[in-house]
Amino acid sequence: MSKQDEIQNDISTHTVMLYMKGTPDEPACGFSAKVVDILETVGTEFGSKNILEDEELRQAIKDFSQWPTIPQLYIKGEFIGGCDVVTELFQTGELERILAE
Amino acid sequence: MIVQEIKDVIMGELLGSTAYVANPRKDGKHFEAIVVSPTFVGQSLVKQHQAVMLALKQKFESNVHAFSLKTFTPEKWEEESPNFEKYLKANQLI
Repeated sequence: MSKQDEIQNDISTHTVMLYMKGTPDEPACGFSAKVVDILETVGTEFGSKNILEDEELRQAIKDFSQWPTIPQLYIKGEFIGGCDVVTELFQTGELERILAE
Repeated sequence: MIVQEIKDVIMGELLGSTAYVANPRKDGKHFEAIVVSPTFVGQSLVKQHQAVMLALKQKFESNVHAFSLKTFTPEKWEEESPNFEKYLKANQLI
């Protein structure tokens, strides 16, 4: 399975999927930690992958999303954004609306 | 200076935009930007951010470690800019 297929599979099988540095229990970057924190605050379950453990995936997800940084959040197969976008959507209540749809 | 380069790239890419770029830790690695652009009108937040991030993609590969971004349409900025006056002054952006 190519990395692109792997990503497609991840985002199809997980309603909420986070590509991050580190793991939800041990985030390796402040931006990743913040997104995990928000997802836990809204109380949603989510899948995650640690791109630090997979250099090929790290490059593939950037190409797949056309977005140069990590973390990257997908909800229902749609790219939502990185830390800043997720934070702003959370603050405006939009994130919970997207999840509830 | 990389702050100026980032500013030039964004404003070159997004027609009619204004970019305020700061390097608050003065480390040449962590950047913050506020981008106001008429091209954002009618775009979702992620599309607005994507437009800026894509413009900066080359730069990211090499030397930008962290980049914090806020985007506004000119109309929205009209409303919000008073809230950022202190920040902009503190970082000598205005």
